[in-house]
Amino acid sequence: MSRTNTQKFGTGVITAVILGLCIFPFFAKPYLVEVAMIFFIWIILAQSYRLIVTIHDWQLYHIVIYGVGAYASGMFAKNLGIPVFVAIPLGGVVASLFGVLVTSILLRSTGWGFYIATYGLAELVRLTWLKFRNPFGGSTGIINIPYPPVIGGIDFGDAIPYYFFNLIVMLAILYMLFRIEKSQIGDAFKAVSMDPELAASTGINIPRYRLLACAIGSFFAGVAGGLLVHRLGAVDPKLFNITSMLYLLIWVVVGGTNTFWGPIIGVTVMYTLFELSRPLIQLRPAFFGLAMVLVLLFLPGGLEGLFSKLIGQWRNPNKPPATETE
Amino acid sequence: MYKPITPYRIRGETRVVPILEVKTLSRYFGGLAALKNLNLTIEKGEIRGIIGPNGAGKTTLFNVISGVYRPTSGQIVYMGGKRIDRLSSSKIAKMGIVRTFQRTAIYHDFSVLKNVTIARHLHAKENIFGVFAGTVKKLERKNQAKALEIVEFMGLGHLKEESASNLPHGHQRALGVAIALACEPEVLLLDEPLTGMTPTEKAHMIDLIRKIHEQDITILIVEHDMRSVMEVCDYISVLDFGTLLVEGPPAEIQNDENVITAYLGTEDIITGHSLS
Repeated sequence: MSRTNTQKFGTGVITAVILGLCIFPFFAKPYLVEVAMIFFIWIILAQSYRLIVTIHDWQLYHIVIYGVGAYASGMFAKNLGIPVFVAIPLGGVVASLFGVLVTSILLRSTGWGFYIATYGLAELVRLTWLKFRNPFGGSTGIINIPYPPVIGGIDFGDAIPYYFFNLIVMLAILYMLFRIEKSQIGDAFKAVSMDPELAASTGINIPRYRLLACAIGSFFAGVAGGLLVHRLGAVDPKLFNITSMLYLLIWVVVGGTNTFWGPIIGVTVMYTLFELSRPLIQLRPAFFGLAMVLVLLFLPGGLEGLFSKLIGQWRNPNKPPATETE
Repeated sequence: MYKPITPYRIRGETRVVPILEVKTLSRYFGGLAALKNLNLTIEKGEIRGIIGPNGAGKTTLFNVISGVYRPTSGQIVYMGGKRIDRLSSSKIAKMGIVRTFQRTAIYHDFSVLKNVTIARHLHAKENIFGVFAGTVKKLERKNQAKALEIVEFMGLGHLKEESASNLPHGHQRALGVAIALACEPEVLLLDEPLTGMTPTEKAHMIDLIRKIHEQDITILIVEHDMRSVMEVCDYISVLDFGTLLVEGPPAEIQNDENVITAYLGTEDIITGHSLS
């Protein structure tokens, strides 16, 4: 009985949140609408990163995959005249192929060598964008990237229509990731992340599943890149540096990766703090580094662990909180 | 009669071949020979015990057969024709050789039933687009039904929704075997299945091993519990320092001098005087 109640409660919360997000842009300052669109992009990045992190490892080039999607989508639209709404998924495909290529090179690496190699590869790509004025625009990036067109009388180049486009894309991606999580393939992913040796002994081809997770995660990250550039009208290579990657990593760690909701909680809390801490921009990296250390020390289950404990207490106030099983 | 895979060009005649042959198998770790020119022949349908003192190479043997390690030299031939010594462990599992682990290898976060259902993955046709089209549902249900069958076969039916981490040790080991059975093996490698069990749990597990054997599955057991090994195995191979010491039915092995020396050494334990 309490399970159905939780499900109803959960569905209620989600519906309320979505409704809130739909009403929000009509009452908020235009600046906040832009902030919200970037928030949706970070949610997509965090969830796609979680997919890769759980089955494989904490690679450090995910933000560059995002960048590959951004550059690809921008260049398809600007140089080849491809319509924006086609360029964005195409950018995702390019990012996916690139992610699979990079991952397959590093498939047999583990440990420190792996992390350093992923960092190296990320920098390699970013420096390629920086060095080559033609075709990547060098340090100034690419400008004059087309805005989305007018469809059915609605100009998607305007803030509010594009906001809803972003919202729908984000919800669609979250839904797809959720379906995958609950499927047999999601079970195989979980099995590999829990005990790769055991999974292999039952016939699960681990490299193949790692590449599959990477292809899916990279595709969504690339789509996020497409969403970005057609709002900004430009691509700036500075967006895809190691600092951004570390923010993404920290937010996912803080949120937790055990459940589907971890990265969402992490990004929501941390991105809010990120925006609120603009006046103290010098101290920001230190602050987030400290936040991650504190979470790792005192809240190893991440914020999602804290959340489920709180919800458990709210539902059964008399029951002592369950001890954390790792 | 067991039909070989490689076609013997003799018309109308079936040859019996061993299901698994280990041929001059060696595995070195640096300078240390864990396995040295080991030869073993396993017939289909037997229960073979692999025993020997610690460090004899028993688990290394299992690791090499199941593809966790590559051999340094030598061959492993499956079903008379297929060389499996260079294949990955997932490939070998797909071919029908499945092992259990010395450690308790189960998925702690999942229920008992889900642990076994996941291992049915081999028999699932998955497709990432099928996830959204809903085409995999029917096969999923079939796999779940088969998983339930296996869970009940192993005597865990009443615990099927229980989280694996909540089970007592003996049940967790049984679950490990259930996971292996879910892959529908031809050859089952049981690595110390009785470790850490009470006498009752051991008797129960031995019963289960016999039941599995009745399903026509070839079983190799690495074990330290001599009584259980002698009880359940048809034939025993004794390893020492990575090579075969002696082979024979349990009655012979029990009284073999070389086996006793291998386990206990050549000195009187109390006085330290040489026994030979």
